[in-house]
Amino acid sequence: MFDAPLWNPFNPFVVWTYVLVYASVFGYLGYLIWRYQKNK
Amino acid sequence: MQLTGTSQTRRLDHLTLGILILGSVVSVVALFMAMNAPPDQAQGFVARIFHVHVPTAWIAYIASFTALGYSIAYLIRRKAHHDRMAAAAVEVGLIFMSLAILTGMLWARPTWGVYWDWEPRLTTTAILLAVYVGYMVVRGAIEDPELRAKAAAGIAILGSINVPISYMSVRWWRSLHQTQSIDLSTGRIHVEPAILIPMLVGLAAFTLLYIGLVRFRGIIAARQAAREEV
Repeated sequence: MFDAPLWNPFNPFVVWTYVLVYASVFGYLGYLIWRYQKNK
Repeated sequence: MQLTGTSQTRRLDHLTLGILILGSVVSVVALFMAMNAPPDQAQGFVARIFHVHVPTAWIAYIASFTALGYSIAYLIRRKAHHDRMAAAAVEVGLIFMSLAILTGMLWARPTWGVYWDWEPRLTTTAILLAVYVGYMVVRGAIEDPELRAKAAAGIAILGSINVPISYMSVRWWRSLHQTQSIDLSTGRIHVEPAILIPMLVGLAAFTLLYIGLVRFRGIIAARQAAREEV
């Protein structure tokens, strides 16, 4: 019998993991762009 | 005291921009592939965390070796560019190392039942994170550029010794963390292709983004150094 939370494609642990990773990486890229533009 | 100046570019060049754009596009493809990867037999859809956890951890290790290379280059050639690039690699590596730990914790809770356990892999990874934080603290605390660069290089070199220990810890001291998915010491792959390929695409995306971010951070540091010289 499947463990229901593990078999939920929208399991909050999975969703938060992807949100965290993509927001952090692209957030940092945005921060660098802001710093670059500020010092132009 | 002043460090030797270099002719490093202070403008966002086409190569860096191209790497960042390509990395961003591939990361969207990786996200799409990860969301369509088949579930694991035991862990179900929670195993999809694997597709970002492993690449972020690998990039953190690569960042440590990048900092090691630039730090050794600095100690030999004493060029400010090498010091700045080592610092850029550690700063970006700190983000990826933090993400590797946080994604690991989010994976551990539904599968191990706890967010954290002081087992060998997690402990050695936490030490590596502490080294990265220490590197940044030391850089912020020392004003003399030459002393700062030498102290930072020493920390980066000593800190990188922990990377192979952390990598092999899952085999040397078998504990809670699973063994390597791709074992570089034997060349064996312990993952099904349908799950492996999205992870490799993610690894390619984050590697491109890592290279682009380090180059971009180095350019900003070079501009800042040039302004301080004036």
